[in-house]
Amino acid sequence: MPDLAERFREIYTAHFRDIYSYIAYSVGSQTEAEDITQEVFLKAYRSLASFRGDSEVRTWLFVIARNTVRSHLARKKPISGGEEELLKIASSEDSPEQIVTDRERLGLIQKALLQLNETQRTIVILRNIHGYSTKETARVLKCTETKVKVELFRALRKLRKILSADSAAAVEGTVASEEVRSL
Amino acid sequence: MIQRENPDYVAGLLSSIKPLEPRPGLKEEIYARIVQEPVPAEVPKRFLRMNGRSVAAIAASFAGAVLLAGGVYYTQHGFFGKVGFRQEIAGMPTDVRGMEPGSDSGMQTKVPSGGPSVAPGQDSSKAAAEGNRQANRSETEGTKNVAVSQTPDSGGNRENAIMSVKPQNREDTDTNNSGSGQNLSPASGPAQNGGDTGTFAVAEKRDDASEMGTAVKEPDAAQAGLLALEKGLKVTLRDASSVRRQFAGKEAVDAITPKDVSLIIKELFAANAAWVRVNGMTINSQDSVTASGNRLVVSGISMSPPYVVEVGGDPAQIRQAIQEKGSVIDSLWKSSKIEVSFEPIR
Repeated sequence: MPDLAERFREIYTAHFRDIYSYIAYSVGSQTEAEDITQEVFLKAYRSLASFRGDSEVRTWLFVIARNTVRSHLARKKPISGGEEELLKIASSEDSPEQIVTDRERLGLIQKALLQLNETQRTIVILRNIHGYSTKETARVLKCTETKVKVELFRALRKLRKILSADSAAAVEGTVASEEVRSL
Repeated sequence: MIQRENPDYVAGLLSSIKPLEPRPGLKEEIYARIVQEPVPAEVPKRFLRMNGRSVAAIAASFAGAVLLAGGVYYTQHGFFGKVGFRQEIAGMPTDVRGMEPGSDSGMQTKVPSGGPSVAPGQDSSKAAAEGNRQANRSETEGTKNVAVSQTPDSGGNRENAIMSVKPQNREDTDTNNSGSGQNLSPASGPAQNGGDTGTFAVAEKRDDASEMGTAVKEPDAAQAGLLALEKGLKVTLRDASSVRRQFAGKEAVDAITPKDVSLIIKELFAANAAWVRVNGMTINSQDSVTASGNRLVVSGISMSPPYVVEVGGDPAQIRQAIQEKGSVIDSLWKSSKIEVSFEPIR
């Protein structure tokens, strides 16, 4: 079936990065993200022949990825903090200062994201990081757009709370380290 | 520094985050592993689809609709064959019903000239049976034959040709009479002949026919079938609506009963109904109308409301008779027990 293989190659090329990114933010570990990404595309490859095209390919892939992530998280509890692994992934094209800033932000976001529940985390990743529309996000989650909006509002409120607490801790940590240096 | 007081800080922070990039070479590694898998075969679609819906589901919906329609038809008409057979039997005159298979039940029914003519009020079935016996006895005795002719008689009354009774041995001079074949009027038949369903009366030239010694002819099956096409009145009897019953202070159980229907049927026969059909089943005054629980049983066939009673005859006349003050329908309606609707049959 050369047509099927060719079609899969096109889909894989077009959506690999987004799927990997979503999985990496969801599980918080580079190693696990790679394994899950491979599993997702393997599932997609096997079931591509039966894909009816009722939805967009990207939505279909995200549904597979979300289900795989959920089953992975259900098997493995609690989620291991993979901050350091993911920080290695930052782009090397930027300046060293930019890389450090991005790593700080990334670390904060990833730590906060892992404290959200799976639905809220998926919504934040799709809407705020990948730029999905509310409608598209609702299709992936198989829920209403209203639910997406409500859950996003709650997720952002929760993130704000988490990040505020982290910033206070960070300030305290900075002061403490300066005191140690001055000694 | 984290801006703790800024409410848009989180949204700004999230928007500054970009999708994570995979490590170099990961994409090719995974692809190489996946394509080592055997190429998945094309899975035949389990169901044909039409506009996104399974054809099997559409077929199931259609089958359900057919079953539903069949159920509705059954509640109103019963089984096709059973009721059809009963209608045919019930619609036939009693003499034809009484005949055994193989007997002369065709269009041409021979009645001896001296045979019993059906007098008003006489039981036509007995008369017909007796006539058949006599016909068998004296068939070779050169009696006068009366036939139901399908051809227009010489009198030129072509419109009523099918329903005409033509004496075969009439004198030529008799043909000068206009409409020499006796025109049969179903509407006036049973009332003058004991109320039997298939009994005809001679509407015109009755005296001429009797003078000539021509017996009044009982209709055969074909004529009985034509009866169903005659005009009449369709009376639908339903339980009174709950609102009307509440308004009248009636209980919900106070609904139409089989006894009410049987009284109405008797009243219809008394009001000179040519024929009566209840829920598609033709009955005569001799048929048993009983009750089994809340269901009406006519000659062994169980029926349930609403009762659609079709009555042969002049619609206005019948309606006036059954709506007369003090009639069964009138009293039931006034007691908020039933709702009645009338519809003329044309």
